[in-house]
Amino acid sequence: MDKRTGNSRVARASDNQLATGHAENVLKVLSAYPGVLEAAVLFDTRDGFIAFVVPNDDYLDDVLGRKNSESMIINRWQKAVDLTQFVKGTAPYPVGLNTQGWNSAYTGQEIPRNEMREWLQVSADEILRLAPKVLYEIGCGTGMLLMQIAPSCDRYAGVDFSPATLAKLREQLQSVPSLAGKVEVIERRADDFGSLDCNSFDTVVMNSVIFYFPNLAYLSDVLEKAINVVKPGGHVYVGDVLSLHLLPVFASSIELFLGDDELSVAGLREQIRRRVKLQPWLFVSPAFFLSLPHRFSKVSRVEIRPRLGRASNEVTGYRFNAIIHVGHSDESALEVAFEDWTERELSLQDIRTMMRQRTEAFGIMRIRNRRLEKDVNAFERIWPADASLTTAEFKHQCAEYVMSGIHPQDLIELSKEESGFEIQLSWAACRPDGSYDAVFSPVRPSQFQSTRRILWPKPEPADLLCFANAPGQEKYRAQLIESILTHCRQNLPLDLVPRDVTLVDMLPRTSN
Amino acid sequence: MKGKAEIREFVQGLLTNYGDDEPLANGDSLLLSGRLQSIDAVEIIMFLEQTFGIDFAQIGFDKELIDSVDAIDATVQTTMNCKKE
Repeated sequence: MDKRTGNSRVARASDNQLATGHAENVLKVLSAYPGVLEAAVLFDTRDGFIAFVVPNDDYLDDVLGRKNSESMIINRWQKAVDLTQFVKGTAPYPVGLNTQGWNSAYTGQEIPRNEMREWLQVSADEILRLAPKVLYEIGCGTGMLLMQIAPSCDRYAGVDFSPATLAKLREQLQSVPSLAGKVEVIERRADDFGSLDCNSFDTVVMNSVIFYFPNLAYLSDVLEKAINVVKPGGHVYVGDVLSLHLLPVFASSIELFLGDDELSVAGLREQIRRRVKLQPWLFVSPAFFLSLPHRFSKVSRVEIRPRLGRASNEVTGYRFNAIIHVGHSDESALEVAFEDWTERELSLQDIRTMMRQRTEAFGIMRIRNRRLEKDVNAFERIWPADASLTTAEFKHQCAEYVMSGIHPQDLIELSKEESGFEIQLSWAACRPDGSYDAVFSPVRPSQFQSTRRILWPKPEPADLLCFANAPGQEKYRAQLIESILTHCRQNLPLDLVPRDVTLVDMLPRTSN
Repeated sequence: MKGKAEIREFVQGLLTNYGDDEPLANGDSLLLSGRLQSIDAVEIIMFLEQTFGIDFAQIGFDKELIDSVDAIDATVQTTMNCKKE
């Protein structure tokens, strides 16, 4: 039994009858291997069998030694965060806005203070709307959120793995005596919940933290513990999650920024592939969070929101927030008909008119994301482009692109201008072009619309295969694939040995 | 013997991880040029801590201190001399 999804192993093959017969054998052999949790095979008349395998995390950890690398990765990040506090010659930061270490992946320089201020305000507002009273923050860092949110709480526990950062936070807390009685800060790793009781907090916050986690198994473990300590009616807020679906576009955008103008497009592609492969941060799919209600009975639903804010940077563009609602809910879902934005390429004015004309909730899906569309356009053009072009020539071609999408923040501001409707945005569909969905619902004082469950457009099955990248795990995953193939060679006729094994995080549940 | 050659070998290993087999001069910028990523700074720091006993919590951190083989070597020499004094 798959301990994460609750499903037993699934066998699939193509419609080819002969292949289907053999596929059963291949699956039987694959499933017998201890490193395999679930498997599926596809048959291609030219290439033969291709296997998709969900790895057994215990096998990776204990047999192949990944657990040791997990501690190494965490120690490395702890050192990296500590290091940011040892930087020489920096001016003192204002209390509650110590942004030391918040550097742009593009320039290596600190993200401008005004952009960080907006980031902080947006994050704090979103968390405060959850009305936390007893809050546990994992990765409280220098206390930027703590200083904003703790005054509204009865109790605030902040934990962090960096002693140097906590030392700075404790210094800052001394200047705010009103927080002394209700705030405690503890040096502790994210997966260490000490002896906290079940249902002892109403909110757990992990903001800008999980990209330091070594792998998806570690994230699952932390989330399970977090959900356990939150009482029904509360929330786990996971903010600033790097989106797996946007990783290739993000990598391409950085390489185009940094790339030598004389580098060929072929070289540029290679740099992008390398950046994706060697990415040290954990990128996670919204689909992982959306799977939580199926895995934990205590979770009623999950919202996936793109980050708000006007600033144009990697934080607003490539990250999302997951809000996990804990506790049973019998509220009915808000059923909304979605119009596909790409069919009419609606302008902001078109949407304004719709808001004025309609009286019931309506949705728009696949809204082209103005924040990202230049990056997405460049990424999509790199692969078919003439490989001998220089980067400078390629950039020149991209510069001709005319944007037509809608900035998410423009929709938020529109809803403020057009009283009577409120708007919710979602990235639950996991599209790799960063497009988003929106629901506009009439404000009715008797209903608390913003908390209602909405049936958002779902991800495509292919977007559900991988929940996260695997930073620093190349070696273990390659070892696992090789050992699975060796096992198949020892137990199957040569022509049935899969030509390729792909590791995935979940197998689609449909017959296709 | 611990020294510049060992530093150079370590840096060369980091570059190899990125498939970077361009020639490496001892004065070449590593971090400020973007040839290595900021997370590699941590690898260099941990290497210096373990190999030479340098504590950046004491001496303070600046990317320029470890931006080239020459700079790393100078940082090591300066710190060791301070320790002797």
